[in-house]
Amino acid sequence: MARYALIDGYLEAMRDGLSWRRDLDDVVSEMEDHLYSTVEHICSSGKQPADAQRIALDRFGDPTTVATVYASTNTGGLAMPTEFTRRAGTAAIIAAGLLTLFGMYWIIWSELLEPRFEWETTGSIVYMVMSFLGLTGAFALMTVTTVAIIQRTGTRGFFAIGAITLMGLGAVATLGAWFIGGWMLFGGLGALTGSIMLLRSGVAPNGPSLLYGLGLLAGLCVFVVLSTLEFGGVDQWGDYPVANEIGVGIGCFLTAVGLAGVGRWLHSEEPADIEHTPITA
Amino acid sequence: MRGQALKGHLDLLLLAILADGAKHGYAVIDELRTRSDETFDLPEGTVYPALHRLDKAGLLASEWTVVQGRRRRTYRLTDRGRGALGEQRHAWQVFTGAVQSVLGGVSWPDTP
Repeated sequence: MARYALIDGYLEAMRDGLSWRRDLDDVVSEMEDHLYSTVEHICSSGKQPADAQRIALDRFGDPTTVATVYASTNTGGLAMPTEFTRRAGTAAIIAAGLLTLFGMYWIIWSELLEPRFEWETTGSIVYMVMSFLGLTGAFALMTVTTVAIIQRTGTRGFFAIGAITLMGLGAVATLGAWFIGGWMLFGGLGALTGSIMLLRSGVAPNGPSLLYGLGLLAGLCVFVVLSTLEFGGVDQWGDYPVANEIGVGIGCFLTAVGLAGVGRWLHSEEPADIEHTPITA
Repeated sequence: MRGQALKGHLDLLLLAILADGAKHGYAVIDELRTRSDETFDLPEGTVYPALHRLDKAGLLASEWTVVQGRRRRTYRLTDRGRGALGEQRHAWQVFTGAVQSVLGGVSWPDTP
């Protein structure tokens, strides 16, 4: 079988664009058969192979458009404008940044500031600002991300409502940032639900989806285990600062990495433009 | 025809084309173009996701063969797909009949 360089290059581009699909080999094989059949058909009418390849690719559509239609079709349509989900992707990336900042602050706080903490100091203002803007802000943006995930995965019903409700409860619970069991549990379950939607639909990269879904719950588990063991001791407030900082740190960083990947995927979706490509040779 | 306008009817068209027998994607798209007298000019690559969706929904079934050294996926209508085609075809006929009746009764050129 003759090989055609232009077609092969296109197929490689499609492999990159659809790398998140579990059935990638099947999808690319089908495209390869289609494009090679088209080239052979056009060549049989007297065209040169190079021209035939260009015509075949022009008919097939550019890689971005085709990859986008694959994504939207798999998720049950584009009922919500791509502009929204792209913005939600940006929101997710910002949320990842806020979570990272909060995680870093929390470690510094628990390690260095809390032992000498007095509510009258400016430290308390910084604490409240970081808790509110960093954590609550991140969770509010994660709620927006959850809506976009529901849309892109085509999830409906109890599962979708559950994801938003849990993430919303997590956002409310962040108002008491010190009660890490609350926001990590609700937010973690909300993120896990979102992650299951992503993994089931197969539309997003698996690694970030998995990290996003398990990050907060992993951090919470670490915190529970370490505090049960009284690892690092108890402070004057009756807390477990070391268990606290390790658990929150792990939860925030893992979630931030996953969230950034999910956000990048949401943001990368181009509006589907399938209006016109000449179909005749 | 503009892609967005065709998009809502693509499933019906694909089911109708496959009602005549099993076909691979290239043949389905070629048939779509021929039967529509080249009116439907979607990028060919965007038709495959629709075939996959119908396959996933159980309206089509597919199988792989090897032809000229290439893997080829062939689609055929399932019983469920045949039932859906009948329903959608009927709904489309009712709809177009109603539109035609309305258009036929319009006297806009005479409207002051």
